[in-house]
Amino acid sequence: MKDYRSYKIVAISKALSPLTHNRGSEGNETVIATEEIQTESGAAQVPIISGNALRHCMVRSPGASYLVDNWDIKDGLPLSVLNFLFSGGSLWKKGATENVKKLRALWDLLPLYRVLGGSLPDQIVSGTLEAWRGVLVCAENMSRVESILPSGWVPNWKIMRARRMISGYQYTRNSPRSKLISSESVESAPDSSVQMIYNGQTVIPGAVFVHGYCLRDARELDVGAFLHALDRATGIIGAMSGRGHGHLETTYLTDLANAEIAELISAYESHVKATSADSLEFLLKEIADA
Amino acid sequence: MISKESKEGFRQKIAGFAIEEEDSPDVYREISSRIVCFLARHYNRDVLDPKAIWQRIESAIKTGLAKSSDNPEVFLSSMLEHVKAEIGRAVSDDEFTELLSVFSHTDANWMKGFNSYLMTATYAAMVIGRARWEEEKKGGRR
Repeated sequence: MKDYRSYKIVAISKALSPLTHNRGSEGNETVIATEEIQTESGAAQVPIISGNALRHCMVRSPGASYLVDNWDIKDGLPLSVLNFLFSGGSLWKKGATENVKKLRALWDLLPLYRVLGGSLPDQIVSGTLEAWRGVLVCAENMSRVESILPSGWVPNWKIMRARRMISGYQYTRNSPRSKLISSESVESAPDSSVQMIYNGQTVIPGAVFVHGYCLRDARELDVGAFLHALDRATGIIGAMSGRGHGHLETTYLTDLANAEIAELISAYESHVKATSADSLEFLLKEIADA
Repeated sequence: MISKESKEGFRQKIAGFAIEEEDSPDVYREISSRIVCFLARHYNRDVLDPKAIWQRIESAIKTGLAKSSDNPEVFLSSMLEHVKAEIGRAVSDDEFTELLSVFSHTDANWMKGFNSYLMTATYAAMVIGRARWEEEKKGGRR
């Protein structure tokens, strides 16, 4: 009988560069994601990092990249397979069913997708990973932070309010029109500037978010796949990464000993190497040729 | 390898965000409206379009914050430059000295809070500052 366990890992992420995890834009200004919370002194808006974003950047993306890097891919991967690996796939086939045999094959070959879940063309694959929302360490959130971290970790200091941890950026973008002007026509070009200013909100570098993951009914291979992905994560999250925004430094609280973590990761790596041909064949058959 | 967090490590990470005093939104509101009024007073109507005064003051605030959010002298100077203030009038205005004096009694945390207020409540600061300016005009100071 297989040994199933549930694991909880708490993560602490410090922003090393401005964080632009956006809710949307207002005109040419981007606005960061916030949520309304109730505090002792009334309602307040505080910045957040969504669980979905953390799950994608810290687990799905690094985990999928590792698989693709290790498979012997000669002619590239079909878009539908890449979509499943990096975005979770989509249910598009008529007459969706629940094929347990197929599900077991997927779980055995690709434990990362037992953790993450996703969607094959004809059936939904539920995941076992719960990703918590990133909670900013600020005055408004202290009671929430206290409930997540071990007892005695949160000091008795007064911490700044969230709005002090929000700043802004302003960049300019050249209009494509200016780049199209050839050197011969410079003299006839209009004299006015064509730089567009755009700006937005950021969470300042140094801000700390507390979040975490709960892995339910996991096999050792699932835990290995999950930890392996966390270990490979670059920690880049949100928009404007091309300009250096969104760099997180993450540390973890777990009951697992270092040697145990290394063992679980090593077992997963061996599994990926041993099953690479079968995994690829499964995905091409079940997704690309479906 | 996955790096683990310790209690001390966590406390060290958040130590920079500890504060001794509570935020002071009323003071931020007062100072920012004084700045808006000050900029309106020194807005150069001979060089710039008088109708664009409030748009120009808003961009002056944004420019000031972008150029220096931690140095009040550079912050105020860059805003004055943005509204093309006449240097002779600006240096003889007591309000300039008083604003510099207010900022000199604050620390980096206060400035962070003030900048954050000004950035997130620019429109409100401008509305209050404009009302202040209108009062000032009625009182004959121009």
